[in-house]
Amino acid sequence: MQNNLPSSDIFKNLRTLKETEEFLSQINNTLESLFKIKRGSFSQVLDKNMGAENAQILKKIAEEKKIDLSNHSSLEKLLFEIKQEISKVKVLKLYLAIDPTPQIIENTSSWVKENLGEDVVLDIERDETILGGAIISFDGQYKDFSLRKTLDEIFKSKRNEVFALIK
Amino acid sequence: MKDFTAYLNETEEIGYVEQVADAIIYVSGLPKVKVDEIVVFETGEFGHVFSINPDFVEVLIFSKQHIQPGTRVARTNEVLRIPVGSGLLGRVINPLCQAIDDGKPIQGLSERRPIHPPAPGIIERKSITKQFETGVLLVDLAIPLGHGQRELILGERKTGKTNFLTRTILTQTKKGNICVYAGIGKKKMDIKKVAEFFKKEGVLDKMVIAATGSSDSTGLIYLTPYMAMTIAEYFRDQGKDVLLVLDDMTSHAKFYREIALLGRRFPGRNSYPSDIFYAHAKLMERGGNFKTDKGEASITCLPVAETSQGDLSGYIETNLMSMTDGHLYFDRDLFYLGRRPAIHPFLSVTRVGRQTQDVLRRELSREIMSFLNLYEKMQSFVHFGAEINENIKATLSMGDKIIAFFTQITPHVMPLKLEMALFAMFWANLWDGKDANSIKDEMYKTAEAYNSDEKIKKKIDSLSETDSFNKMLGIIKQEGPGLLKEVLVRSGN
Repeated sequence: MQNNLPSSDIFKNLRTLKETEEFLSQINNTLESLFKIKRGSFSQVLDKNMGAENAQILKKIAEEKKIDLSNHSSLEKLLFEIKQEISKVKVLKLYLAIDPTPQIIENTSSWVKENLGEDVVLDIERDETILGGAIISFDGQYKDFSLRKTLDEIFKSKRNEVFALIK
Repeated sequence: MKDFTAYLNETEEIGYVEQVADAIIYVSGLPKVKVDEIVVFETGEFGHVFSINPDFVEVLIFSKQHIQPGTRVARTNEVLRIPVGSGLLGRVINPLCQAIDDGKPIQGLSERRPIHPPAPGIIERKSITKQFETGVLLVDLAIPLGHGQRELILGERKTGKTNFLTRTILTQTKKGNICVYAGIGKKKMDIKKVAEFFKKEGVLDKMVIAATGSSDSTGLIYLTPYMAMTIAEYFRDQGKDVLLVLDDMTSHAKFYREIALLGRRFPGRNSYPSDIFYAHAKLMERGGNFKTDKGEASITCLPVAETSQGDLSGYIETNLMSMTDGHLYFDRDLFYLGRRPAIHPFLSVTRVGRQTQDVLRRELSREIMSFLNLYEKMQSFVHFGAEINENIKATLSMGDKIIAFFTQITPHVMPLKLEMALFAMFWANLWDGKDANSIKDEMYKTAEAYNSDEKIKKKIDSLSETDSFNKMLGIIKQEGPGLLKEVLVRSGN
């Protein structure tokens, strides 16, 4: 992904689709507030809307790009650019039979960012019918590693034995 | 067809519905999808890949069911194929070969064929040599068609195009040929009337009616003529001569325009997409006369185009004219004058039909057209209101009788040899001194006698076994009065 912004720090913090959507919503709120603040209080707005960590990252980006925090037009342009970059994230959809713990999410997200790219986020959905394992869908590819599929295949291959047992 | 999950596991590719625009669904994902491939939605509907862009795939959906954004989509790795077989005869079906009449489920569908195969090349084709009988005097005698010809039926609303087509279908089915009627976006009541009419005439078992109603999905309506052509190709490959009626192609163009505009194609002339010519040409090219494994067989195609206010220079009309082998123009003014069929003999064209005629028929045809030409010119003298001489009066009187001769109101099927004999009797003044109604009455009695009495049929057929029209007239003058007397005696006069 071509990137004029040092947004890798932002992507590091975005592990799931839900977090990404939340972040985009925060940016939208900030944009709306931008022209309501008095001169010099952009920092306060960021802290209020984005949370401490994300606000710090955005301030760092503004500093690196030498944007004056009192120049609302430049700030607006910066936020739009960040918003566009974030909208381009790729989503890796995971169907699991359980609700994943924060540790599972963290580990999975780290592996994904290391191997597939920093701009990939997880979209984890719970589907008890798969019984176990996972179904993974990314960039149009679909792989079913679920327990349900494995059991289906076993039953298909052992169909004759099962019929013999029933008879 | 398998279910969604089976296709998903088989192809291991997934897409998600991003946007729904009536008949076009925009799907993201599906990296290896091909154009014309079938895709299946997790709700059970399926669609046809219309076009592929870097960011999304355009899918033409066949159902009116609303699809939610976010719905998953799977590839099937198959192109759209319809089941075909002799089980389709006598049935009314939609473009997916599902029965829409009240009958039992369709059986006897032995194979599946793609809807968009390439048109046969030159090697598989043969010259058109056999005349195609429509049962309409004016067309068979003056504007002949051939088996394998593509002839456009052109005219405004309510000018008798459907009557002409019905008569043609009756003639062809009674000769044992197969007819495929494609009703494109018609009213369901009209489709039902067509089916009931042919059932009443006892020819529905030789026909397939492929129809979509105006309330069906645009994707399904778009497929109708292609699917009808695929069915026609199946019967052609069985060695049968097939008549394919496409009613009507101007509606088809409008539905295709709707799909193209929804698919954000750049609008061209009259907002039609730039490939509207190709959409129709690839269909017309599949008609013709062919060499098959079972011998020579043809697909005679009669596409219908509706003009607006007599404008022959419309975009779709001129497109269709250029890709067909002629056109029959139904003139509104002639219709209002009471001419049935209201075919304008000078604005109608047949590019291929004349090569199917032998010397006798060609002379007959030339005689008719030159007389009609003379009659048209003479008519202009009447407008001046001046005194007209006896010759002109005689010509005008004869012209009126010829027009009455060609007027066919009742759906009597007239075989070609009978038509030729009747015209020769007329031209030889066998009905001189009689009024138009009497002439018509005796003509229909002759037709009935021809269809029911083998002896009279043989006599009439033998009249056209000459190699020149003058010789035929000579024979008619000798044997005609006796023959007419026999017909009248037989009918109880």
